[in-house]
Amino acid sequence: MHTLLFTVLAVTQAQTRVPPDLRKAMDQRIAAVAQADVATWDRLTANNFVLIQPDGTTRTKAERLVQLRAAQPGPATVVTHEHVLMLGNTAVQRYQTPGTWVLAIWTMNRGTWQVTLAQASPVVGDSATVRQAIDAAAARFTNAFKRGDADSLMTLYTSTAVQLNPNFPAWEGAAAIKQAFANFFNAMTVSDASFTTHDIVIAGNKAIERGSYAMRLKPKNGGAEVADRGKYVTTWERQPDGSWKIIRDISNTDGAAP
Amino acid sequence: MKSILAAALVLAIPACADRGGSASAAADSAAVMSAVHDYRYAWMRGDTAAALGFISDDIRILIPGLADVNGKEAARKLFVDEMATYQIPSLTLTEQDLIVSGNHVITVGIWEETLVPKKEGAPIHAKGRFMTIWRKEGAEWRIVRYMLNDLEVPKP
Repeated sequence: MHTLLFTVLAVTQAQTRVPPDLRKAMDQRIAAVAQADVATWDRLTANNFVLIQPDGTTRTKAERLVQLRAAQPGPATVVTHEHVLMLGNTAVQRYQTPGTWVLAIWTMNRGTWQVTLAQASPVVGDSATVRQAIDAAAARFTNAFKRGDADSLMTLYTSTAVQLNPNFPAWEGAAAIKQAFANFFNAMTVSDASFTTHDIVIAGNKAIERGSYAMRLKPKNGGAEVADRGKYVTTWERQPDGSWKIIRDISNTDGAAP
Repeated sequence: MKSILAAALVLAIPACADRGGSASAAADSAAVMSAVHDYRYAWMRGDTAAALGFISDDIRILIPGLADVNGKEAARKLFVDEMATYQIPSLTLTEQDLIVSGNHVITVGIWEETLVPKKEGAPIHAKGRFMTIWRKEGAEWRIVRYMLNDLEVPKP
């Protein structure tokens, strides 16, 4: 009984006693990722570091450094649900950022706290939560499309998204998609448009939306209004900030509406 | 419109590596590629039962101009009709994308084919893109969503 009590007390105390230098290192490393601060992240990361990513793939320290060097500074990371377990010269830190759980293992190396292993796991909401998020994103898409607002549409695509429309070359990447939408809106006024979600398949940090669309378009060169309807399958991907963006989209047309 | 269906239902064998890199992602990619191979072979020999073995009970097939094909029984009717109507002497497949995510794999590509009606009529040349969603069901990979669209075929 005494042994059990001692263990419980030890763990409880360990959870709460985070050395000041470790606390500082933890805060600095999280900030370093957000700010793309390569030097700080490098200093606080062990050479044998491995990151296990949400999709199950891994990244070495060298690979993460390449990513960080290419990254742009962003807003501060919002951290919630943090918990630290001290086990001698090792600390197990877990915390949540929007859409992601992070587990980091810290060890003391030559007087410096460094992360040797980290794992990021998506916070997968239930189907209702995902559906709500996709519905909200789809509504923003519809509104931007009806306004002919290519800039707003592009906030819903990742930089490497691919759009596959019938009888057009693939639009590959955000720049190509934006240009294609801009060309489209320069040629057409959207009189009306609707996109109806029929169902969503949740696949890890992705959601595959199946839907149908109907739209009426008026050529800006004065031609007659045309109507179109068809189907689409859109693959959305949860972003590190918890938002959902399109990575692949394919549509077909049922031909002109009667 | 149905003329393009047979090729549309014969899915491309992925030619590029998955975007992941983990052992499990690579294994999933390989398993789907194997399933695609077997599924394609089932279509080539007109084996409806074998082809349907790769179709999930909640399949949704989205063909241009046709109502959605919902469920395995609807898919069965579609497969039987297509295999009874056409032979596929020529089929070119260009896989462009394979994404592993959880217990799903997303494939995107282009198909191009020549269909020969079994009874009468001239051969039909068709081309388009597809997006296919595979889901691991137990030890098997099955198709749960399939979408295709058209690409204009240059006239000979």
